[in-house]
Amino acid sequence: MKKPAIFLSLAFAAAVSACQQQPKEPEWITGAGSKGATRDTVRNGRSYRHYQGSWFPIYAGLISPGSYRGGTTQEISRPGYVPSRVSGGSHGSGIRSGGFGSSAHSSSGS
Amino acid sequence: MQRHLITPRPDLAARLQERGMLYHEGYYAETSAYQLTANEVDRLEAATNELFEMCLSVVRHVIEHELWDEFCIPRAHAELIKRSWREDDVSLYGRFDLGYDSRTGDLKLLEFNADTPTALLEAAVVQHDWLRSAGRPDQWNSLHERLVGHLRACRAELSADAAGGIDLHLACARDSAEDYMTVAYLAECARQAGYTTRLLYVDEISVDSNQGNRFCAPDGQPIRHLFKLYPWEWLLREEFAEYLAPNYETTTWIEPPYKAILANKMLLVYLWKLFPGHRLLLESHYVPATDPGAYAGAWCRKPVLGREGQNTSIVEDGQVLEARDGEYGAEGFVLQRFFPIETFDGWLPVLGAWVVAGEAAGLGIREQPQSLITDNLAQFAPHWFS
Repeated sequence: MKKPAIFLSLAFAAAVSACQQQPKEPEWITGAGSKGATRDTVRNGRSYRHYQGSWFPIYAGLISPGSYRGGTTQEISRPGYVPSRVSGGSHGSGIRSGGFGSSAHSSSGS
Repeated sequence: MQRHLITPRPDLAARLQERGMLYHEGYYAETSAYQLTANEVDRLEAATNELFEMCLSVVRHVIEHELWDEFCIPRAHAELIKRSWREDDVSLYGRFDLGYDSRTGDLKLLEFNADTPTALLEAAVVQHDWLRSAGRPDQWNSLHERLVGHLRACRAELSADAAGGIDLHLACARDSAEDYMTVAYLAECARQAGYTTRLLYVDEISVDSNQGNRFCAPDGQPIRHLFKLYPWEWLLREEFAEYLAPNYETTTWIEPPYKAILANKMLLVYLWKLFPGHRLLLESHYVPATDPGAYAGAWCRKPVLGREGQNTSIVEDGQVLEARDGEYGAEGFVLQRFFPIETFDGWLPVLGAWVVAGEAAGLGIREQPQSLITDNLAQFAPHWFS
């Protein structure tokens, strides 16, 4: 069972840090205020965090204002409300995307 | 098995960041660890291998008897699933969640995360790093070596480009840092196995009518091999599902389509049908969504297609002891006999026994206080054995 140390390459660190640094593709942050506190709520079974005047869905303890449009308190309280994504770019002729991914309301992992 | 309180390493946050954990607050605190005996690890390893073989028997049974409706699998995709099984398409990994009572030795399958398991980086890398720092003797963990080794072996089954290289795209949903972390780690394993890797989001996969409706990456390049951390039960119901079968020869999906059977909670029902009374299984039955839920005894009620403990409840003699909200359950529920996991100072550990390339490969333990249902808020605790 004994084994040598596991070395992860710089490419791995770069891939992971890219996830943290790119502003819209997507940046995942805690959304904590200047005193380090967060303001969370639960509406219709989904958790939201208040950030810069809007409520953003929480996934794995983080929010992504670059990926989601923030909602007002009234909006997120509405039954059936689903946080909407910030839409992506356009595509060339003959190429269609977005045909996968529509079921992902929460983590796809298990 | 014993639970020990441990002191987190002073540079823990920096170490986790360095090893690619995007988040750890409330999930990996390094304040507790579990100690097992070598005999317990041997039993876990043997049980994991046995369970995996039993699960494959269920896949054979489902395909042979065409049980698509029972597993809520659209019949239009039956041939795709059968073909991936027949041709033994590449599969990387899976994780059994096991309940254990070290006082009696009872070990029971709770569920099989066969298609999109996460908690991989912490099991493969983070707890190994802890083991080395803590100076503990050993750990059941050959995950990293097996993943790299298996990916290296799989090169022979995948198509190389003109220069002899093999591209592997790895995709996940946009919504989850945890999922991104998992595919980024698997990409690193693939690079160590000699692949060229590219990460993308599932909604970036396109279909190009100028290239025979092939699946393509955002740069327009055809995707030949795609690891997806995205459930088959979702893929098979989305707009591009119609392109899956026609692209079978041009795009290899990892995990393979037959994982739609293994990741389905109906697996538990059919395991019980094929191996009734087996020592590693809990009695399990299907009940429709409209079932009132007045059952004698204690049961765990799980949605047939569910994730992360959502819509799961513990019921005893018709009374709900604990329940989770969620968005699943329309397809009905699996009723699994409740197994009282051994409690350690109020903490309930679930043993995540990993399978890589069809063989038992390691252990990751998640624990949760004062809760009977393990969900995505459980904490990860390292382990060692001696």
